[in-house]
Amino acid sequence: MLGSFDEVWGDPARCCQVLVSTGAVTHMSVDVVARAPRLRIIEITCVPPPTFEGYPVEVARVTVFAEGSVVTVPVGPTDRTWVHRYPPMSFDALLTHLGAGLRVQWLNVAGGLCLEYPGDPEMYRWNWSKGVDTYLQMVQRHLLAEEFARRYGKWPVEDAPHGLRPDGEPRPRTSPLAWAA
Amino acid sequence: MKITERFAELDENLKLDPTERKRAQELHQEISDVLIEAGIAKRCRLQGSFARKTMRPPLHDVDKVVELVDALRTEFGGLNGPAQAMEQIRGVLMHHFPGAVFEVKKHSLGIELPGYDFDFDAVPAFTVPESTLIEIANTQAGIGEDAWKTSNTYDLIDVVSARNIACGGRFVRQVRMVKQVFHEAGLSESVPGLHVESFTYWAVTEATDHAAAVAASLYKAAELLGGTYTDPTGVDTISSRIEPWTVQAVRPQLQSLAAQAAQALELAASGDEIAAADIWARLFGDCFPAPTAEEQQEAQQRKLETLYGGGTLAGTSRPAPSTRAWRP
Repeated sequence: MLGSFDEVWGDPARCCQVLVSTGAVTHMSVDVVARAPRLRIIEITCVPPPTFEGYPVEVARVTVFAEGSVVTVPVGPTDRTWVHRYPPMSFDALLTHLGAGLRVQWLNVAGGLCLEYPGDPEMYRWNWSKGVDTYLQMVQRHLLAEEFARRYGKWPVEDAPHGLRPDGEPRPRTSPLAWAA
Repeated sequence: MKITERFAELDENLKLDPTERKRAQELHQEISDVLIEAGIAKRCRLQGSFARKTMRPPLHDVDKVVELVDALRTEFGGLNGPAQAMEQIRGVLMHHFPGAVFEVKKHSLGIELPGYDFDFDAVPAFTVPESTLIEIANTQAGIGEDAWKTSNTYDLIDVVSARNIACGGRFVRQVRMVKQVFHEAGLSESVPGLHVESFTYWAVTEATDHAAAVAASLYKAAELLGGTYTDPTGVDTISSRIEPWTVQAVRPQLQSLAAQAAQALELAASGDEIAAADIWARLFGDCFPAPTAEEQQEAQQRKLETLYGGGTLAGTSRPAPSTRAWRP
């Protein structure tokens, strides 16, 4: 397994170098931009692969927190539409939340990507046992899917409807992996 | 549209206009008849890329050899002989084709006829007995040089024709395709057509599909340019005709073209024909049918389905879990 939490946390620069040099991730560069006591920030720059001629170069920052959570925030033009991204919190909203003593998550503050549905079974979700290489590929394909949605007005594969089901049950896949190769 | 269908369309687009070709052949015959009747020529033959069928459109100039009657050899044997031969040809043709414009060049008499979009370059020559070689005019020969220079142009036609037969009739089409890549890349002036034809000749030795043939030829071009190579007859070392500084400037560009073609082959082999077609369209320009917007969308959708369904962008990567995007 490549890119465990311990590897990313302990030596993120070497981890980034190995990810690229081994071809574990392609069509992207990976760099460490911050190393602080409670977080590490990795920046990925994704160039469009051959099928996606004309798609923009995408930059995103992947923040790894000490307790293991990961949040990815796209960097770039602010006037683009997003299908599966938390809307970044305005400064006023942030103050209001903090003033009310509410806990605010980085995912909401910065406008992180919504890469997976928490109600899906574990095999259809990411965790550290699957390696940071697969996580970065999830980010890469998500950014491609967002651009696809901008161009053609639809998400290219099955996604989970926004929001929670009124009965609290998980939203089932309508056609499990029908779109899979 | 499959990649083979796109190449078939490219092939059609790189053929000379059949009407123009027929006009050129008829005019060639008419000029020949006039010169034979006047007692100057014993026979005329087409040569060059038009004769070898490796010319890409539009038809611009037609090269022909005017085989002079042997009796003129003594009269035109001196240093001024080639110019005198051209003057005689001019004198005959100007009466038959009023309004024609002539230009004496190093080896040929340029002929522009009113009403035609293409020119003729008529090369006066003497045949060599019992040989396929001819001796062509050289109007710029200095003292001590031969005014009639040996040429194997007929051998070249035969060799290319034989290779075309060996390749099932595809070779000359593939030469036109490779020439188109050079043209689109702005390299036609730096690397003349015979060099491109030679690269293709040394790269394509048997029936090969068009995409693979073009990729192999570009690779061969990048490999040979800067070294020593001959024309397809194996006799003329034409590599020395390109200046070293031109080689320096062109070679990196050729390496890039070869790499792009190789990538297009890889993509097509992996099933991504639209991405491959995108690259070919860049290399060939407008004469190659680029994927439509609908085809692009379908290909992108399929690729994303693959990436979300356990596929990866490279064989060195591990598949990411098949997640569903969601927002609370």
